[in-house]
Amino acid sequence: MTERVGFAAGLPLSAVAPGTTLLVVGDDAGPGRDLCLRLLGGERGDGALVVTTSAAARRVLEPCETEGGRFDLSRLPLVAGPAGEAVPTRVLAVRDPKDLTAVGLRMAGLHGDLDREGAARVRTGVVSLSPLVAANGVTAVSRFVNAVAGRVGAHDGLGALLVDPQMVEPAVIETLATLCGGRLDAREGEDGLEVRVDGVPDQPDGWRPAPLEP
Amino acid sequence: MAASTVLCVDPDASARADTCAALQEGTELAVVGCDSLSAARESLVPSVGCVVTEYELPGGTGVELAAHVRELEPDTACILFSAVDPATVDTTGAGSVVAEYVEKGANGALESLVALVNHAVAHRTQTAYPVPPDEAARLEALEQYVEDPVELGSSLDRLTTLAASTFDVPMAVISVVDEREQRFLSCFGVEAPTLEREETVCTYAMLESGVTVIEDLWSDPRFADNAGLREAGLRSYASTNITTDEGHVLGTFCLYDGEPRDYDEAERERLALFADEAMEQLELRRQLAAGNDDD
Repeated sequence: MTERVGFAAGLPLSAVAPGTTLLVVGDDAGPGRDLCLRLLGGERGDGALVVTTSAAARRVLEPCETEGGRFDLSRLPLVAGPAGEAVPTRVLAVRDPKDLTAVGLRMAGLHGDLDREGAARVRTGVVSLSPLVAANGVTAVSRFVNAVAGRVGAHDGLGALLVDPQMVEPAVIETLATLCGGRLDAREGEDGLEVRVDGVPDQPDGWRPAPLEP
Repeated sequence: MAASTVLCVDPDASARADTCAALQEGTELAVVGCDSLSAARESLVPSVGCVVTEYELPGGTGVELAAHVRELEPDTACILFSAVDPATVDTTGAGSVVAEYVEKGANGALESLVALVNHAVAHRTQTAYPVPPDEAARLEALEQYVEDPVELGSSLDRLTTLAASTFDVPMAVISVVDEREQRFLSCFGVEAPTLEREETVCTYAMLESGVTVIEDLWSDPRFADNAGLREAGLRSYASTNITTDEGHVLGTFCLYDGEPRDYDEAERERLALFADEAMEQLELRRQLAAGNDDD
């Protein structure tokens, strides 16, 4: 697949090249998390792989759970699938943030499941990297991020990796951003979520509102 | 050394032959097969850009092999190619190893593996550090400039000696960053062996434009756990890139101090001049070498 990767209505982003991974910088429990999940909403036929690294993030996804332990990200009002369609979703709940090797292997396994089920494209999200950085340090997490971005690139997918600037130092965020194809900052504006893009070609400048479409 | 080989480790001779054949057909890499953890360890050399391994091996596991790879050749990609459920893989003691996984036996598994190997080697997807966007062209340029670093010795030594005096620092270093390592062309005040790229400050500094100053390396989260910096007493860092006319960063001219310190604007400008002079020395040597080759 070579089509550019589009985003849900309301997000102030032009389509990006397939295989792009974006570092989302924002509050793990607020605008950053919301933007990260909205990026995974996808287009018709896409699947989503969501990695949660905290109990709070796991709770946010509870409304998405369907029968048999499966998930459908479109059940999240924040996300809403294309034309109301289901978004086949795999959720990996990380219980041991120190074991990046296990996280990476299990992510790859779930990615393969979505591929074989016929997902046109897999959108991979990590909500959030912040506990992984705290548990492992920047070197190990850099390798992990590079590997995740590499998998996204090899499969022409999309990656959205969240990091909270209140928990991770600016120099580390800069390093992680250089391992990704660009950076999205998220904040809460007067009328809701606002987004700023850096390092991604052909995108709007400055802070832009990201209203939820009715 | 450029990655030119993929190591395929599988105790099942038939499966190994199939995987090796797919890799030979689908990649431009030489393929070396072996059947055990110990044989794989012996076959691990710097030219191996990727290791593809079954999980269960005679003498250990694929994860143990990946951990060994990280110790010896940390930038080499590791891919577990196995039918074992990744949720059941034992990663005890190997939490920061990081490896890929492709399910052996699944539909299209060999095609997926080949694509992943090609991508991992071309884009170096398991390094623990970012690389410049022009990395391939940069490495090509580097080969032209520092074929024999020892020959560059004295002229660059004068520069590092002068820099240490000018900035009143105990250590000044000119180095280049190749595919996997930082190599030192001239050192004043410090004995520097060749270092893995993931262990050096310059790996990060070379991605910045202008002068990079880190007032206190020990309080920077990227380097706070770097034992080598502490053992060498390196506390503050300033550098500027050594850059070709085409814009490829070959390496850095850097200063270290044993105490935290900053550099004012004038000092930063002077440091940039030193890097320019080092680049001119390298360019002169390149042109001389090219002229000798023409003769």
